[in-house]
Amino acid sequence: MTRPGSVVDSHRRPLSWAIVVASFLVYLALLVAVGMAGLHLDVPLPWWLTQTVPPLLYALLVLVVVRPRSATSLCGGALLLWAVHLLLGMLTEPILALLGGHGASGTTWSFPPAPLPELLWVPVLLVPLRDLLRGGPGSRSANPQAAASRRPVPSSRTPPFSAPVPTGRTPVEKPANASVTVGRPLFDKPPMAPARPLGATAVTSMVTSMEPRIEAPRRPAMAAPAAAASGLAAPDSDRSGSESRPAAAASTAAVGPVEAAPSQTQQLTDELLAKDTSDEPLRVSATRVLAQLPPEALAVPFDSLAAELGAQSFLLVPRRLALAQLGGGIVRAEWDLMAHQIPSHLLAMSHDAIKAGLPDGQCVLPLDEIVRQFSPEIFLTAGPAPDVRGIEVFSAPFQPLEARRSETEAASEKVLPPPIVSAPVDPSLPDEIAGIVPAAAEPAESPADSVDVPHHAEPVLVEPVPAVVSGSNVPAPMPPARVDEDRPEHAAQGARRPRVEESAPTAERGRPAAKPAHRASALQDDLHLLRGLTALLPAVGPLAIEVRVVGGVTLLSATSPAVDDDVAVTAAALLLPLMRPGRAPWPVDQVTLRGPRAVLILTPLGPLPAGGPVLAASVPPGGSVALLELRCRQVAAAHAARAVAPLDGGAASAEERDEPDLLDVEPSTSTREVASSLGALGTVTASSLRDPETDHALYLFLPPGSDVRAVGALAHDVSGVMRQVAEAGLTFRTAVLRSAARRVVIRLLAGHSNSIVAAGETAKPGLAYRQVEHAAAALGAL
Amino acid sequence: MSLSVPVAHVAVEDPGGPIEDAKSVLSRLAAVPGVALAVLVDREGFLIESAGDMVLEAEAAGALAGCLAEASEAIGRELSQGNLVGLIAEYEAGLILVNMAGSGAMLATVLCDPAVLDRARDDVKKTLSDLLKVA
Repeated sequence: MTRPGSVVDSHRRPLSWAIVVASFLVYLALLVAVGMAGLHLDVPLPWWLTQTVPPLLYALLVLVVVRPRSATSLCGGALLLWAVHLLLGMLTEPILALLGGHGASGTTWSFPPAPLPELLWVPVLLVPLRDLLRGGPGSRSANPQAAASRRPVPSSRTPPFSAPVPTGRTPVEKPANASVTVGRPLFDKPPMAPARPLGATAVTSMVTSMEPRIEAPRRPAMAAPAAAASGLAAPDSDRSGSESRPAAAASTAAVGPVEAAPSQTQQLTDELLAKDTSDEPLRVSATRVLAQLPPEALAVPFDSLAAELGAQSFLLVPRRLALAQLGGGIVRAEWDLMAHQIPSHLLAMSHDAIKAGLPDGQCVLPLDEIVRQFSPEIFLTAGPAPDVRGIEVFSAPFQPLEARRSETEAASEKVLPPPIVSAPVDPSLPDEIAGIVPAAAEPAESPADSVDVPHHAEPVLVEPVPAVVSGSNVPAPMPPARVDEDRPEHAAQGARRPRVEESAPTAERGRPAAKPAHRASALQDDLHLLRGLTALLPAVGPLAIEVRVVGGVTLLSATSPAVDDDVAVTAAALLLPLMRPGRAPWPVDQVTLRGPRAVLILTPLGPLPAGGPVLAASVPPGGSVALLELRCRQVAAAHAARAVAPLDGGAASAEERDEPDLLDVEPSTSTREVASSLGALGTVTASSLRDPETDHALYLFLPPGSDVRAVGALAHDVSGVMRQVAEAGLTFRTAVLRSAARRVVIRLLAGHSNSIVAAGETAKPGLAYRQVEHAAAALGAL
Repeated sequence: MSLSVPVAHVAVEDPGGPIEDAKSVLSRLAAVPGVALAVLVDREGFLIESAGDMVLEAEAAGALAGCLAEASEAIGRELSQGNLVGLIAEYEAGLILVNMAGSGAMLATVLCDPAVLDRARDDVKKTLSDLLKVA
């Protein structure tokens, strides 16, 4: 019968018809023998049963042998055989009568004829007609693409007549011998993993040779994936002999070592298979596969192979078949799998001969081409990322380790210049997934230890985060890590720039500063916290993180490269005094300055009189602002959960400050009308204040009972900060001070002379901001 | 008024009123079987209005939708595909549709049943049209 993988259909093979002719001669001989002996081949069954059995039997044979692709093919095949059966039966009986001595007069043309003996020969017709009766696409050799998408043809170890699947995406049936298919269902239970861990280098390195690796036989035997069980490539299996082995034996032999091996590798392969959900077959260069054939197997010179292949220069390989073998560093596929895809005129040998000449009947597939077709993300393991925290702070290169430590100790005695440290973002720390941030690390005993001791972060669960962020985010490209020992440009700022301290946080801040180790540890904590924030913001883009001391407050800044870092720090420094307890009527959880070019979000993590710290995130305006605010508040909540002092702890600031002398002004009618439009903030009443010195007006829309003068004074100062920052080159038009659900929106009007101050509790900040914008448009036009 | 109308041209009389009608529009969308949440946010991801069973997650959903839309818009810009009109994100447990509502807002719709995608898309289109009328 036709071997699977043959390029010629069964009805076109002379051998098939030779079998038919030979068997027919045998059949005739049988007739002669029966006729001469005078035997009667009647079946002792009722006539209706004897006539029912042949079509049913033929249908069963067609179903089992041909595996037709449709019911039409099944019925057609059965009817064809039955028709032949009837015709032959009608001819047989006269022959038997003639041979039995009845002569021509004894010939009978009975219909329907007796089932025997034609029932013995008619099934032989299935040998040549098998492929014809199968139906579906035409010759397998005529359509390599379609053939490639079919179920791979099993090897000789596979029982014949295995069911092909229709061309299409995913086969849905599972034959008993579960061979590997292009689709996913058969990999619902992923094949067992290679005994060798998945190595990125092994996967991503360029493979220029198609030869199997030398060390492959030395590696532990691969587990028997579904591919092996089906006769497809069995990666890294024992290749000592090319003789066929029973699939079961191969599976048993391969399973043994894997059972003894740790399950880590299996988990990694399972993870790979789980991550890659595509059904799209892989494309490999046909020339690189054909290069493995002996020269005599090709009907054309190898050099002209590419031209002969034309548009069919790629062979399709089941995606998951390759994925299951990637861990072994080599991917193989049965020749039968690709034979149909190669135009027959390019081959000078039969597929059987070619297969016999290949090791185990398999070809090695170009690994470089395969790896390129997988998403890089699937190779990112879920395990812990490299711990680089120990190299965040390092001294100048070419210094001995001891000298480095001495310098570190010496530096700890000196003040730490701002910024204390800046480092690239590493958003893929596994312990900094959404909603979980690490707790403070144990203080180290020495500066050196503080550098080398890794964080034993204890996750602190904060409020539930409906995040789409996971710990396996692809790190954003960032500039290399750097430590700025000195940033003279900060000191060179003009007098209007607030004082950015050159000293490290002191003990009064409540953060350990007496011991250098503690200071370094606190620095590590700050960086760790910033990384936690950036890990929550993969879609925001890269953020440069820095730790500074501004006005006695540690400023943890995460700045987009699109925003002027210095101006953002200046704005933060100007705003920080306004965020101190007692300065605002309510404790301030977050301050957001919004402008056309930048958004600055300040989120206190600790009490400002104790030195904070304060998170300062600055990004360009856009879709990430709301998310950035949300994440900063989550980080603050997590920080507060492990903080000793409450955020608003401590007495109100006793600092001397100049309260603006604001005058009450009767609000105009239009101002009162605007008040009714600010529905998102609840009920608000309109009031107006005016600074007689600057003649700046404040239109306040506050909940009834609010301390108008206190809010007005704060808004006056915040407006002043925005004007100051604008003079420094960065325009902010709106400031939002948030305290729990309460928001105070301060909007500079056109010309920056007057301001709108709207406050209230809202769960719809977007609506509130829009309403304030409308109010600004209305009042600014007055 | 329209969400796409520049602020300077917006009438002053009652800017908050029409927007609040968006609640009923969104509620109609959220009442469609399989729709778990409908959130209207501004282009920075701040919540304007929401309706549905998952209102507690509305703020985060809106914030993430804003981020998602911004990133997706960048892709279209890079590939010269014009402005972002909408996107569909498929997850194991459902789908998220983000559609631009004028130039100043976007509608995020969370579907807990992927089978209702076709109907939901039609309803979202109608909702967008209604939102532009009421806003």
